[in-house]
Amino acid sequence: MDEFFDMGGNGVFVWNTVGLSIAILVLNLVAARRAFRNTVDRLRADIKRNTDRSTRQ
Amino acid sequence: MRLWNWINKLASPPHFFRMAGTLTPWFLWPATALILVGAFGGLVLAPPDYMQGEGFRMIYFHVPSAYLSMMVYVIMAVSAAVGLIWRIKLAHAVAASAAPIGASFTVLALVTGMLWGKPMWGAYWVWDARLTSELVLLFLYIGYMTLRSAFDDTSKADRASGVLAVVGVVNIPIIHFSVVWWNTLHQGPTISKMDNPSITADMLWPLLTMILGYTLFFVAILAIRVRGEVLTREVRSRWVGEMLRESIDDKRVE
Repeated sequence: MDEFFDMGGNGVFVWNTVGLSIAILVLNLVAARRAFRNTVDRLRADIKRNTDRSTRQ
Repeated sequence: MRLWNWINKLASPPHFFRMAGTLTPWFLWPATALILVGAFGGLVLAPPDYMQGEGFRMIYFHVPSAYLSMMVYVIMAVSAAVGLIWRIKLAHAVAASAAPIGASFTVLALVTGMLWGKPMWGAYWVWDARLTSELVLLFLYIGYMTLRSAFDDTSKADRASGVLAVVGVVNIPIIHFSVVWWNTLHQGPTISKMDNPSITADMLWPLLTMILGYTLFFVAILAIRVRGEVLTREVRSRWVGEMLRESIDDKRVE
């Protein structure tokens, strides 16, 4: 098992590459979903505000 | 005629919004499965390289990100060109949404390339033609996003950044052929010579699996981002208003 993680003395480079790649993929997914959710929430809030205003008038 | 109708329908924002929402999980889950299988194949099953030893396994993460960094730029430039020529707003939305994803894959390609360079070449960075042209690609992505954010008017931002995207595409063949045109430290083409690849089948299949997985993952992320961009651009249209009003109660937008 140690041999597998050591990667012939290149373990630090190989595992940093793996970790960074997974991090970037996950970050891309999280950022895209968060951006979409924020857009929907912002537009919903605008519509609700406009509806409330027109109801009061 | 049928194809033209299909393209017209696809370019319709409400149709695209619904279709992208339905298709996203169909890209995301196979992408995750392919990346897991490819990573297992590359890190565990593939034999060590006769020159680079176990360290060569970094290619299973470096090559897909480098390939995507270029492919995403081509998609961005083609979308921008379609938007500029035929004035299709959805095409500009695709270009704008692709840029941050492409930039992230370019950063990943550069950093994983540096991590590969240190044990193989003895240096994290050399001003080699491949590395330098890839760095120029990152600057093009940053320039594109910066230029977009400099305009309050979306249509002006689309036009200005679209021209930059189209002009910048000249860098893509330079990156790809840099290892052929110049004497570089970076190794030459490995898998693009499909008639005679310089890699054995048991090393090749995990790499192709990873490339396919990364590509499907990109499509899923792009679909999510384009949906958000479409909503922002179409905020004044009736379908967006109706959809959001209906969703205020159940708190869901499909």
